Amino acid sequence: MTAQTGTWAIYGYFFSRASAWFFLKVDITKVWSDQLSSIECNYLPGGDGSPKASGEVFLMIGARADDKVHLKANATIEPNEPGVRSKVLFCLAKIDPAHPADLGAMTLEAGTSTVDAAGKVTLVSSGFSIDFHVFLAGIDENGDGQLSKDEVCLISDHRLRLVGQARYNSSLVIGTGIRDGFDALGFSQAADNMSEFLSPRIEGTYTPVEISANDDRLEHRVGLKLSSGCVDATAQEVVIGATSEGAMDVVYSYTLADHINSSLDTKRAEVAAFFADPANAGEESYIGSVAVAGTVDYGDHAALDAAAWLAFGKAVVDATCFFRVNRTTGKIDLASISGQQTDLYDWDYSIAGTDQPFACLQAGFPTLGDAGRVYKNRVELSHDVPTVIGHDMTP
Amino acid sequence: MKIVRLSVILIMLLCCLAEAGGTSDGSVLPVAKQLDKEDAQGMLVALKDGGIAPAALVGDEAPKEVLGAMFQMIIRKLRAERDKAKSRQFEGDTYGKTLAEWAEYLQQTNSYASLLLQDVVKRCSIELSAARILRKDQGVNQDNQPTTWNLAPEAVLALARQAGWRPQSMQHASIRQASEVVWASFGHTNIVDGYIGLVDVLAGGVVFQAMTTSKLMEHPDRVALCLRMLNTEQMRVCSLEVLRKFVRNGGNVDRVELADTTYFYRIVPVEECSRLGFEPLAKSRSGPGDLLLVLGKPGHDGDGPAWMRQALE
Repeated sequence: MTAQTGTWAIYGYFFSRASAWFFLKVDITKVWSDQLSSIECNYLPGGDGSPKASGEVFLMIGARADDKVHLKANATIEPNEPGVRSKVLFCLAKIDPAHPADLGAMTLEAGTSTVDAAGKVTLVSSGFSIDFHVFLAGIDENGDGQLSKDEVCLISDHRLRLVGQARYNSSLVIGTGIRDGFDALGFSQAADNMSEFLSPRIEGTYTPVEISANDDRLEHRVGLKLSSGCVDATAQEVVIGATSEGAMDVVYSYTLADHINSSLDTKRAEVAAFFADPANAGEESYIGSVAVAGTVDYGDHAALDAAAWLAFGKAVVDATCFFRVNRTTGKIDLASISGQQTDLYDWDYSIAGTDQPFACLQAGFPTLGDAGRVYKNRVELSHDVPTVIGHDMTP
Repeated sequence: MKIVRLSVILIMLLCCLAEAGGTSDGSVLPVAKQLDKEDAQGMLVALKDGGIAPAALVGDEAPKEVLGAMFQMIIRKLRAERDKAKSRQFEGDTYGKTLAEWAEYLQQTNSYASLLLQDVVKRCSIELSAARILRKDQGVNQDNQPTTWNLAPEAVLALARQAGWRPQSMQHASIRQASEVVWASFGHTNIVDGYIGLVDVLAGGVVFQAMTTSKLMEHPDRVALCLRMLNTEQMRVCSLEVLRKFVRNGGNVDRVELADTTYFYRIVPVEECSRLGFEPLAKSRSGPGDLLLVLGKPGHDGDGPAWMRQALE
């Protein structure tokens, strides 16, 4: 009558029924959030969003308006008989991070579960927290409707972090405080971006765009009004114009300058060849362009680029730098950039600190409140780039 | 006579407190009530005439009850004085003089509570300066700002000392160096872009929520207070100067917006803004955001500058 130990796939449980002994084996192949009813977009394995900074793999899930966590899972149960299935229960358990596989150190959460003949599990848990949780399965041998530790036959390795109304509300207080702090410190774009996240513009007042749960920039597959196709077609794109202060924060950043300089370096040989060509002997300058594309991480210069770092974090630049090289000095004496920077405004819970309350808000949208909605932002870039003036282009 | 009587009462109270090693709220209240009848200027005169140093009221060694009562009273006085001045659109010199005198008085001690009060007074003076600049008052310019308002590195270092740090060759520290000592003395030692601890502090986020005066007094947080003092100094050095240049160049503040900075940079060119940085916070340039910041628009939560709400909350 003891839960077997080992990897989750070979857990089992001996039990007796009608004078016969059975070996129950339960396997969970997939777990998904049912926060948005019947929307199977936020799941494990493979559907938890972009890789987390910490390397952890887990689902962020918000409670529904009833302040309960709704989950679904695919399970295989052997023997798959109605009499057995009716006694198989599932629940969530908080793990002890120091002993993640130790059943004895887990806290089993209250909830209800059902499983149908096809093995689809429906679990509603009234007990949960932001701490790591796992799925447990077992047989309700004593018939009390709840799993106890000695009835457990499966500890799944699907990890979950769960957000209820209280945490959502406290995260909103924290978020508002941080936004006000940004305001007071003069990080205006960071404050604006956060305001949009905390108090999203009302649908119908903007031209909607789509954000897919499959967007590989999305940190967690939450914070969106997803359809069954895993797309939010009512999302918003906030455009930060080329003459805005937010665009200036980008254009004047050391981070972007580094990227442009790296791109410029690919043109050194071309520039040298131009000046060496006798046909260009009369030319005092080389004028050219180079693509500046890829991910920029303002955390690379989080102090010097604090305004851009707090506003955007990481973003993708797709632009062209137009430049002029002076023959005498071999250095850039004129440069401008044209293009855009795009980003999803979302948060990774696995980054300790400020990111966590915002990730909790994101998880709670839309069931626990309006705050926490993910949106796109696009910074238009069309400006001189004085930060790369003087960059050496000699081979 | 009334002022002298109040001073004597207060000194006697403090002596009693010193002998008794403390007191209940009940014994402070009568004195507090007496002083409460004075306005900010009257209270300051009473304290000075009574020879009462700020350390006795808001110093680190002041009895807790006296500290709490006096801190709240000074804030109340300043708030009342500010409301009165604001209702007069900050016309006249009295308010500015009162603020300067309070600043000089409080600067006699760099205790935690005194530094916090100094910051409140300084924010009030920045608000006043901004109003005077907008009104194009003669004589309000960076050059003749009294040194009273400069943030002294020693004041910043005091926060580290309160955490147990003992100075070594820091006589000529800059504000940036002093603030890095504060960050480091509270365990923020990560170096980014050559700045020790600054990014740790900004990334912590929680510090932003702790920056209102009431929270800082209720739950002393020297990192948050240091950040707030730097924030205030940044407004004095960058925001006021940007506003001054902008107004002097004929700019109309109502036309400044963050979504389109074309107009702003036509009035104050980017090159000029690039000379208005604030090194302790790694700020390499100023811009329209600094101007709007000091004027308190656009705020995300109600009207008025967010930093003044922080100061008087």
